Amino acid sequence: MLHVVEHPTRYLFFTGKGGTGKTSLATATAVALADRGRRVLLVSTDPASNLGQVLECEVSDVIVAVPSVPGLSTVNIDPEAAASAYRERVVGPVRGALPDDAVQQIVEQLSGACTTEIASFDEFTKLLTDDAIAATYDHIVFDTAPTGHTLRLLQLPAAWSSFIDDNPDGASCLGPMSGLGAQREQYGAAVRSLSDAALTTLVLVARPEPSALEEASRTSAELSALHIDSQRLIINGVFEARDPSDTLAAALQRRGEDAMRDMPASLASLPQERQALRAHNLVGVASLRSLVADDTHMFDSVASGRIVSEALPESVSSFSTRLPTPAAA
Amino acid sequence: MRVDVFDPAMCCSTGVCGPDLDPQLVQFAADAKWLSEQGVTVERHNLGQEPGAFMSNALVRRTLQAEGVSCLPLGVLEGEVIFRGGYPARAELVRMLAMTDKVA
Repeated sequence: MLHVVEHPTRYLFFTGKGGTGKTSLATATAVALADRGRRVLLVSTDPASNLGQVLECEVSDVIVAVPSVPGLSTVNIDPEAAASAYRERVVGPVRGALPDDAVQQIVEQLSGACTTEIASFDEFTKLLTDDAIAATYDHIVFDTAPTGHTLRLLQLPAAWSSFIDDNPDGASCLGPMSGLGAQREQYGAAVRSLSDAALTTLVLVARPEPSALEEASRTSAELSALHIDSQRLIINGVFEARDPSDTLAAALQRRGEDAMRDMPASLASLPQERQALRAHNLVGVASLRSLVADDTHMFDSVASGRIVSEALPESVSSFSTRLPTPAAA
Repeated sequence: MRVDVFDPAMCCSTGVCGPDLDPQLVQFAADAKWLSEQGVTVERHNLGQEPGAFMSNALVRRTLQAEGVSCLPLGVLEGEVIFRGGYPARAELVRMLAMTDKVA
């Protein structure tokens, strides 16, 4: 049983690179909490969110109830729509007054990933600070989390004046934040909620691979620097070979074990859970329920091992003996 | 003495943001800092962040309407354009500001 299901805080954030399974884990957690009678809102800000697919229902930018899971509602914040609304707030007043190429240049500048990131955080702080939302839901589960970069930007308004005084020439990416100073209060409240361990748990999700664990470690450090200390690590997709004579399977297992053994110390010090590699994608409410019901360390290695072997051409089995052992970090 | 620099729309004026580091921008950021240490007030205005500043300054608005964004960056010293379309080197700045007593 996942720790966050047994000891849920009001806000649960799942963060990790694409493909780590954070949507599955966030969704399974949300379903499990709803099954326990809690009122849960599951939020995605991923433009390529497959939340609708995983839950087998329509997910949109307005909050909708999930028919198959009483107590669960979902919403997908569309970062592009949020960014476009923000651009219009900046560009609207100067359109017609400045030449077209100047307006075009502003629009282009505000079309970067930075603006999109901020604009979607703008939407999601509303979920953290809205009184009606607070009264309606016991838990809000985010299948995404603000990056350290976003959070640094968000902290700036609070320390705006002193920062500019102290760092007039510093690399201060105030960039797209400048139009959002008015929301300072809302951001301040959101950041306080995020750094309150009684309210927020941040779950880092990583695959048992050196690069993924390095990345999780960086994210962890960035969040710690912002006093978001209530972090947990879930290593997802841990592979165990059941048949020791299967050299490919054994090599895959060893590679995962090496990566986990050599993970950065700061990451290793976090409370950690491991999820076994699954042979099938988690789609549908029933399979999500089975994920949470399982013991975290249990999995059907025979089935998984066979599928891995079948998926690769025979010649690969000889390759497995040449799999490099990852260098110690 | 006050210099207003009207920058093209960009992430921020340090030049170290984003995927492409612009060495001219980094150099100018350093020069601007140096100028302010010499007692010159340097104000930077980013088209992407405060387009209002470009509208409210008649000289800048006229220049921008006549020449388009190719006139940016535009340096204005007490109501006069001192550079346009590119960032000057520190030695040029010293000459433009007639800071004869300073060694660039």
